[in-house]
Amino acid sequence: MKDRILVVSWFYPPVNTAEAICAYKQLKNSSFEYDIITQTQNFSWSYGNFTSLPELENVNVISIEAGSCRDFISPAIKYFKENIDNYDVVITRSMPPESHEIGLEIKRLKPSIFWIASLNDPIANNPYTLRKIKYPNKYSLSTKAGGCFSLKRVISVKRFFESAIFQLKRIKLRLLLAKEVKLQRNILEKCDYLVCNNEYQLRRFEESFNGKGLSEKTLIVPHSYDPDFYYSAEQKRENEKIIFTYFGHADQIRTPFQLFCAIKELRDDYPDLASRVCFNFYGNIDMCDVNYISEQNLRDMIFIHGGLEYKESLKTMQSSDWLIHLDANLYDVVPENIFFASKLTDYMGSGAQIFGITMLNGIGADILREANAVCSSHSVQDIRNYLYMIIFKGFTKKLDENYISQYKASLCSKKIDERISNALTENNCS
Amino acid sequence: MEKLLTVAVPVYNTKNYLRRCLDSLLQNDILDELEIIAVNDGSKDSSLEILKYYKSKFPNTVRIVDKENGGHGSAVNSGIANASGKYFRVIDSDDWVSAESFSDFVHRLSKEDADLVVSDYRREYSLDSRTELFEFSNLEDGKTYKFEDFDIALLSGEYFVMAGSTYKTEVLRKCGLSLFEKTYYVDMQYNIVPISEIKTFSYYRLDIYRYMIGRAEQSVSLASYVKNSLDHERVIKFCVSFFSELKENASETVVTYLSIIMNYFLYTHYRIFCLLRKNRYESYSMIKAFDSFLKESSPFLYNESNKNLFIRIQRRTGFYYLFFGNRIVTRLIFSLNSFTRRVKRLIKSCLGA
Repeated sequence: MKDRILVVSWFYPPVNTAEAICAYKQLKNSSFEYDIITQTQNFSWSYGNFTSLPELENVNVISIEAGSCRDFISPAIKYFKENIDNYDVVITRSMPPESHEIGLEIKRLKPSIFWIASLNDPIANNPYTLRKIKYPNKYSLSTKAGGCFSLKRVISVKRFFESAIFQLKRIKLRLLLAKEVKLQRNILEKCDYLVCNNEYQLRRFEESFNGKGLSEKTLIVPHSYDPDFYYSAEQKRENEKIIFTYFGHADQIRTPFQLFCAIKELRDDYPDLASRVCFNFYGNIDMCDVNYISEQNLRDMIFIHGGLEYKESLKTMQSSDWLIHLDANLYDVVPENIFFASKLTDYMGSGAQIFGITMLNGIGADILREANAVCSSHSVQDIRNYLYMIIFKGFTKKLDENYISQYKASLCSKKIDERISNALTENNCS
Repeated sequence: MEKLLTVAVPVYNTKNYLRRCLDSLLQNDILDELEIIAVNDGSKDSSLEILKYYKSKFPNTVRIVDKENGGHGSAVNSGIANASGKYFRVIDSDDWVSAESFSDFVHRLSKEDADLVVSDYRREYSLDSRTELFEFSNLEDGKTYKFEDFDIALLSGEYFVMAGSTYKTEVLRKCGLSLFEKTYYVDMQYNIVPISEIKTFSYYRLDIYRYMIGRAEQSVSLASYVKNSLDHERVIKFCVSFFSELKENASETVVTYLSIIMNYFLYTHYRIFCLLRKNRYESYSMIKAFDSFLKESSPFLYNESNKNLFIRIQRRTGFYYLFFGNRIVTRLIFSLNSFTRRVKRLIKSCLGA
C-alpha cells in the first residue's frame, strides 16, 4: 500500500463542478496512485452529479456519506487513523476549506507526513466576502442608500430594528472572517507545500501570513485543460449567426449585467442585431439579470440554458465562435483580480476565440492578453465596442497556441508530481 | 503615400491597456487613411513587444518610434515631427476610441478642410463602470465655424480639450508647438498654443474618445495634482506668458476663448496649492509669489480670475486664512464656489439653448 497518496477533496466526479473536474484532471495526468476521500451525496454549488468522466485506474475513490461539509471531517479523520501507516503524502484540496481542516488534524496525528495544501481560492479575506461586508446598511440614517431623509423614516421603529439586525449580521460576518483568517494562517504555517494557481493569489496569501518563507514552499500550478476530453472532429454549426457562449456560475457580483447593457445599447442602434448574433448562457444566472433580459426584450438573442455535463460543455465550446469569460468587478475591494477561473483553461483548450470581461489588472486579464483573447473591462462602452467590432467589422482574435500549450493538464500535473517525488525520496532517506 | 489622419499614441508602461487602444483604432475599412505613430517613451514593461506585434500585423499603418523616456510631451512632439497625415490627433495608450464613431470620423474627415475638427468624448470611470459624455450641445453637427466670428457663448463655458481635438498637422507645425518634456499637464499647452493659428473649426457630433479615469497613477487624480504641483506651475506660467504675448495681436474671440481655458487652469492651480497642506509655509509663499507673477504678467487674467469667488476671497485675505485658518470654512468656500460655478454654467447653457 505504501507510496499511495491520500487526497482529501469534497468535490470529485461524478459531481459536475469546476473543482471536481480540476481534481480529476490533476489525478488523471499524474504518474502516482491515489486514494481520494470524497463525497457524492451533496452536490450543492455544482451542476448535478452526472459527469460522464470514466473512472481512473490510478485512483481509488473512498466515498463518505456527508450531508454537509462539517459532517465530512470526522469520517475522513477516522479513515486516516485506521490507515495511518499507509500514507506518507496527503493532498488536501479546497474549496470548501474543511478538507484543509482534515489536513491539519492529519498533520497533528502524523507529523512526518508530507502535506500539500492546494488552495484554489483564498479561505480568508476572500474579496467576495469582503465585498459583502462593504454593502451599505440601507436601514441606517447615516447612509443615503435607504432613500429620503423623512421624519417618518427617522422615527420608524421597524427601520431601527432592521438596522440593528443588519449590524448584527455584519458582526457575525466579521467574526466568521476572523475565524477564517486564523484557519488560513494555521494551514499556511503547518502545510509542507502550498499549491495555488497564480502569483496574485500568492501575494494575497503572503499578506495574511505573518511568517516569512511562504513563497519558498509554494508551488504555482495553474488550472489546466486536458486535450483528451475534446472532440477531434470539427463541430457542426447550426446557423450562420455569430455564437457567443458562456459557461459557469454568474451571480450578483460576477454578473453579466454590463454585457447585457452593452447588447441592449447595440440593439437599440442596430435593431436587426438578433439576425446576426446570439448569446447562449449555460449555468447559473442571477434572477435580476434574467429579468433584465425580459424587460429589455433581449430574449430573441440571449438564451439561458441550464448546466451542461462537462464533456458536453466542451463540445459546445468547440462549436461556438466566441466564449465569454466573466470575472467579478472587485475594484472597490482589491486593486487586482486574484481569481483564476478554471473554465478559462477549458476555453483555451477548445481553440475557440475568447471574449473576456475582467478587471484590467490581475490574473484573468494577464492570461487573456497573453493568449491573444479579447480583454475588456467591465465598462459597458468597452464591451459594446468589442461586440461592435466583432459583429460588424469582422474583428477576430485567434488564440496563441504556443502560449496556451503551457496549460495542458499533463504539464501541470507534472509539476506536482515532482514535488511528491521529492517528498517521497526525502521520507525514504530519513 | 500621404495619409489622411495621423494618430500619435504615447506609450509608457501601459501593457495592460495598449491592446485595447490599438484594437479600437485599427479597423479594416480605414487602414489606408490612417497612420498610427506609437511612440514608446522608454517603457520598462512589455509595451514595446506589443507594439511590434501590431506593427507586424499592420505594417502599412503602424509605425513605432522607440525613444528614451521624456514624458508625455516629448512623445507628442515626436508624433508631430514624424506625422505624415493631413490631420493629427493624440490618443493616450490607456484610453481607447469607439470603433463605430472613429470609423465614421475618418470617413468624414476625407472631405474636411477646417484647421481644427472637434468631436465629443466620454469619461469612463473604471472603478464603478460609470460613463459621462462631454459634448457641445449648442454646436451644429458637421458645421464649419470661422473662429473669428464664432460666438463663444455657444460653448457654455467649455473649451476644446486634447481628447476631442484633431488639428491639421501643418497648423501644429506652424504654431511652433513644442510641449515640455518630463512634465505633467502639458495637454494645456496643446489646448492653448495652436489656437493662435486656427482660422476655422468644424464640429462632429461623434462620441469618439474614451478617457479612462480611475488608475491611481493617473496625473488627473487629486493626489497626483498635489504631487506634481511644480509641473503644474511650470506649465501655467508658460501659458500665462503665451497668453499675454498673444493678447496684443489676437482677435477678441481668441482672447475670450483662451481666457475661459486660463480661468479653469488658474482655478485648478490655486486649488492645488490649497491642498498642499504638508508644507504649508512653503505653499503659502509659493502661491503668493505666483499671484504676484500673474498680476504682473497678465493684469487681464488676474482681473478675470478675480471673478472666481474662491480666488477672490483668498486674495482679499492675503491667502492667510487658506493656509492657517479653519479647514471647515475653507471647504465651505470651495463648495460655495463650485455651486455658483454650476449655477452660472446652467444659466449660460439655458441662454445658449
